[in-house]
Order: sequence, then structure tokens, then C-alpha cells
Amino acid sequence: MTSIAYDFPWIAAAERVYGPLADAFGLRPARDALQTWCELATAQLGEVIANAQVAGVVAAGAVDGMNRLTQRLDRLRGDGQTINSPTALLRMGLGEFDGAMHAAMLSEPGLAATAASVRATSHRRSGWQKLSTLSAEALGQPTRVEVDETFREIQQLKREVRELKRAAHARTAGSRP
Amino acid sequence: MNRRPIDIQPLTLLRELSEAQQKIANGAQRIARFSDSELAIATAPKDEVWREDMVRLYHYRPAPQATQPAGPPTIVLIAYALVGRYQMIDLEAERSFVRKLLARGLHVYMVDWGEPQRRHRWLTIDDYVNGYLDSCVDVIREREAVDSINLIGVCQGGVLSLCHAALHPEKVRNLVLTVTPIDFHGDKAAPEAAGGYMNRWARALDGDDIDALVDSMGNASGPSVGHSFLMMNPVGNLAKYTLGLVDVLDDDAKLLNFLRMERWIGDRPDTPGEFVRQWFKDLYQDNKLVRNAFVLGGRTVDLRQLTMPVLNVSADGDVVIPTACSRGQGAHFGTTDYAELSVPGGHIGTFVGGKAQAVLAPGIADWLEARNQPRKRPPR
Repeated sequence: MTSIAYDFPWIAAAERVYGPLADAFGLRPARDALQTWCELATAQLGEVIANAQVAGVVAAGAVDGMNRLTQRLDRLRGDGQTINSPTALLRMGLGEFDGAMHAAMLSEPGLAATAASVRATSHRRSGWQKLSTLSAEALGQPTRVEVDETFREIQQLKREVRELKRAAHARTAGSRP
Repeated sequence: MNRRPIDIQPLTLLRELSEAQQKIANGAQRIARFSDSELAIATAPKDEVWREDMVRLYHYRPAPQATQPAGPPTIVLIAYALVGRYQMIDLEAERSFVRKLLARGLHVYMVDWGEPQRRHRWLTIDDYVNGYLDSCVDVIREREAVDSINLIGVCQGGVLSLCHAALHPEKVRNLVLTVTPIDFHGDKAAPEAAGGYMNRWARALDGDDIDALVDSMGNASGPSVGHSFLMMNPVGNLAKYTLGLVDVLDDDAKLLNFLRMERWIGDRPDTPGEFVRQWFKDLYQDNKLVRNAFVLGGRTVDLRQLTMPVLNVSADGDVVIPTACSRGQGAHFGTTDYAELSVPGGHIGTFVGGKAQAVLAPGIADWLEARNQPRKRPPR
């Protein structure tokens, strides 16, 4: 049975009381679509939050890069050197930012943020696929899962044919004088 | 008195901007003038000798001025990775791994994994190793009338070659692994500051994440894989497409090298979903290969079955496959003839880098020729 927004008591109660009745009147596809849209909205929001986490890590890396550049310039000043070429300064800056960004992305928070982003993207993508499945079912078209299952069966059959061919070839080779 | 560390005069700024502007304007004209034939990659002549599904086996035509070895020909099959196209090993005529092997008189075959479509999403590593790759090896054995051939695997292709050689050791005379991850957790003990991003990223996910990713994606699209590689080095890539590009705009040879490389980078095929699932869960996460726990087609890949000579080639500056994952792996293998070769450059630089040219192909050709004793089939 579908379950829409159980976090809201009134909606949950109405769903439990009238949901089955609505299904009986043929409203199941519409209710499924509504629930999938809700899930999709949650997933989209989750993806935005996850990407914001990644952006936070990148921003932290940028700040670290700026600190590294400042320290490098301090060392130059200590050595009595001066940069008078904007291109040279740009190269130096990119070099320092590169190291800082690697450190940020390979840090525990960086890896956790990118992992969360992957999870959120998968969640959002599967939400759209559920919607697409509902549409296909409503229109009497094969769904993604059905098509993929057919491909899976074909692949399994091809494996079996491959094994049979190998076995036949081995038998033929073995029977040669 | 403390001097300021930055002292950029307005005139200097204007001069450098003007120079860059001029260089970019001239460079744009140069780029537009290059002909398609100048930008072509993978031009070594070859013939298709076998195909199944989207996979092709090519045989390169012998080089006209090739050295004629005294003994029987050295027959090699090169297996590239699935995440890139095989053209990398023949990117430019002057920096072509294939052409260098041909010039040494080797008989070179190449497997092109092609472009998997949605219907190929269920292809597993077993299908590649015991299916396509094994068929390629059999076709070559038949064509050349030998029992065993030499296998050269590149990166992922190295893992496939390693698995094939362990499962079918009678068909592989010598095994050459180049920039190949073997101990996928090797970087744990020796983490590198700027490398091993993929290893750590994969371990930050759990098995369910990989399942959800593959289930929702189907195949891993080429652009998404390309994006992952770009994100391993975002600032470096930013520099490459800005300052780095401006640096080479007035040098035709370097500019052509850049453009050919871009042509290769932009042509990434999709990777079958089930292959990706196994690759990440069994190898990156569970490190089954060196634990002799990796199962393909119902058979365990036992690295102790690698009794043929093995040459393991790694790149000094490889940030894609940390050297801790590729070097010093001989103890896992059953062979007593194990050697390593270090090549200057990065993961891709191994094949196209200027310094690597003098080391890689000659090193592999020397090693193979010293062990070239193909077992001719007895006449039937």
C-alpha cells in the first residue's frame, strides 16, 4: 500500500482510512505518482544539500590554498625575492591551490561529502526512473526494468552458448588423430 | 627594509596581457589551419581479424623497415582499459607504443573493447576475461599456429590480462602488466598526497552505494567517467586548459600533441554496469585479487597460477594507480621470473610522455625477446 507523508498525522490518518478506498476506485496510479513525486522532491533536496557539502569542502580547500599562497609569498619576502610577473604569480597560485584542493578532497570530510553526493544522485536518479516506470505502465509500454531483464536473459543465454561452443570445440580437438 | 613579495607594475601587467592576447589570436588561427589528417590519432595500419558484439581484434601490419629478429616472431596481444579507447597506445606516429613494437619486428594484435550499449549492461568481468579476451587469444593462437602468446595489459586491461593468465596459464607465454592495479589496498600503508583518489573514494562508499549507483545508471557513461578523472585533479586541469594551453600555442608539435590528446580524452566509451559493480565492490573495496578470492565464471583467480614470466611496468608519477598498488607484487605470483620496470611520467604519460619513449617500448621488447620461445603446435 502506498504511504504518503506519514510524518504529518492528519495526512497519515486520511491515507490509512481512505487510501484503500481510493485504490478501489482506480486511483492507485495517481497516488503512486504523487508519492513518487514527493520522494523525488526529497531526493532533489538531498542532492542539493549533498552538493552544498561538496562545495563547502571545495571552499575550505580554496581558503587553505590562499593560506598556502600567503605563506609562500611570506617565505619569498623573507628571502628578499619579489614577484613582478602576473603570469608567474598565477602559476604559483595555481600550484598552491592544487595541493590544497587535493588535500581537501582526499580528507575524511572531502571523501564523506563526495560519497554523500553519489548517494544523493543515485537516489534522485532512481526517483525519476520510478516516475518513468509509472508512466510506461500507464501507457502500456515496456518499463526500464522489463527491458533490462530481457537484456539480462539474452546475456545469460549468450554465456551458455559460449560455454557450449567451447565444449564442442574441445571435443572436436580431442577427437582429432 | 622589508620588500613587498608582489611588485607588479601596471605596464608589466599590460605587456603580459597583450602578449597573451597576441598568442591566443595566432594560436586560434594555427588550430583552425590544422587538417583532419594532422589531427588523426591511431594511424598505424591494421586489419580487423575477428569481432564479436562490439569487440574487435585488430592485427597491425608489419612495419616496412622492421628489424627482423633471428628467432621466431614475438606475438603480442595488447589489452587496453575499458574506460578509455585503445588509441592511446598509438596516439601519434612519433610517440606510438605500437609502432615501436612493430619496428622491433613484433607481431602486434590489439583488442578494441568497442562501445558498449545499454544492452551490454550485464556484461561482467568474467564475460570480458573468459569470453572476449579468451576468444581473442584463441584466434591469435590459431592464426599464428602457436600454443601460447604474449599478453600485454594496460591498467584495467592489465587486470583482465592477469585474470586470464591465471585462469588459462597454458595460453600465455609471457605476461606484461603496465600501470596495473594489483593490490587495490596497497595505498593504505603508503598514502600519496596527490594520488589514489579513486581508491579512497571507492572505499568511502559502501557496497549498497555501489549497487544503488549501478542500478540507477545502468552503464557508467563515458562522460561521467571522464568527469571523475577530471575531478581527480581539478586545479591541474584548470591550469592545463588555460596557462598550459597558452604555453603551447606557438609550438605546432606541442599544440598537435595537445589536440590529439583532447580527441582521445573526449572519446570515452561507456562501461557496462555489472563490470563496474564487480570492479568497485570486489576489487576496490574487498581487494579480492591479491587475496586469491576473486571468482570469475565459477573459478577462483589464483595468482599463484601465474607461473609464466611476468614483467610489471609502473609509472613513477602515476596518480591514478598509486605505485603502492602496482609495484612490488611479485610475491603474490607463482612465477620465479618476475621483473619490474619503472617508467618516468604519469599514468597516461607512460605511453605518450617524451621521457617514457626511450624506456617503455624498448624495455618491453627487450624483455619479451629474451623470453621468446613460442611453442609451435605439432603438425596435425
